Amino acid sequence: MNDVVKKDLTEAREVCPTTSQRLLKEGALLVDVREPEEVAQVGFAGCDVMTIPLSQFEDRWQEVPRDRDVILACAVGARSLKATYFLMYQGYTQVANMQDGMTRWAAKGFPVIGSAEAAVSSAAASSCCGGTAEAASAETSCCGGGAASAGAGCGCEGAPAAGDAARASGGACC
Amino acid sequence: MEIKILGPGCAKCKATAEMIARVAGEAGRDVTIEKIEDMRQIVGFGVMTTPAVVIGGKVVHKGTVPSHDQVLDWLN
Repeated sequence: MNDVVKKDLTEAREVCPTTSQRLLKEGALLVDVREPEEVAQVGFAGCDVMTIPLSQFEDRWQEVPRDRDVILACAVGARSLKATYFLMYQGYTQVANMQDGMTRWAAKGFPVIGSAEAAVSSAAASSCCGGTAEAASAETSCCGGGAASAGAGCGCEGAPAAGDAARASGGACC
Repeated sequence: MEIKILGPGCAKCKATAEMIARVAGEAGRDVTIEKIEDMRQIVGFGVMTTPAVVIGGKVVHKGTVPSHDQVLDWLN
């Protein structure tokens, strides 16, 4: 297979849905990495959205523009964090991960297509092991290590990913 | 021989490590297996699909548990 170019990636920038909403209004692009069946249930709206399922991301990442701010999102923010790091590996610099993803976006009442209730239920029912979604609690899933902690206080904008800590879905300020 | 296994610690990752250890034992090869489970470090190898196996600076496999013969081929 391929020769490895190993890179020590810096911690990804993470933004809460509220900050994401502002950045999107200022012209950022939202890249939704959820799988098609999830997007069919409930989709991000009110902003410029590109959909690249994580299962296709290795083949399609070049569709993401380099000359524009990009926010990656999924159901709860774990898969999109992986995609964020992958874009950073590929040399992208204007990328950020949306903390807590669609679950928090919908809970905040931000625009969606479809059922906002589906966002919460799909996140709770999903599992990373099926290849379609990450579990709501990374601590108990095989995705452990991928999720970032919401942390204390509102250090959302520009905050680096916590890396190994599991995300506490109820602890975010935003 | 140093072998890195990239994966979040799921069942397939453990099976990959066990397969490599077993085949190395059968073949009498001395291998050092290093598991890399941190997602940022995994992606730092340019890999998104796991488990992945890195040997001698190459990603030799990714996405599935390797077969007995594949592992034997790498060790030889």
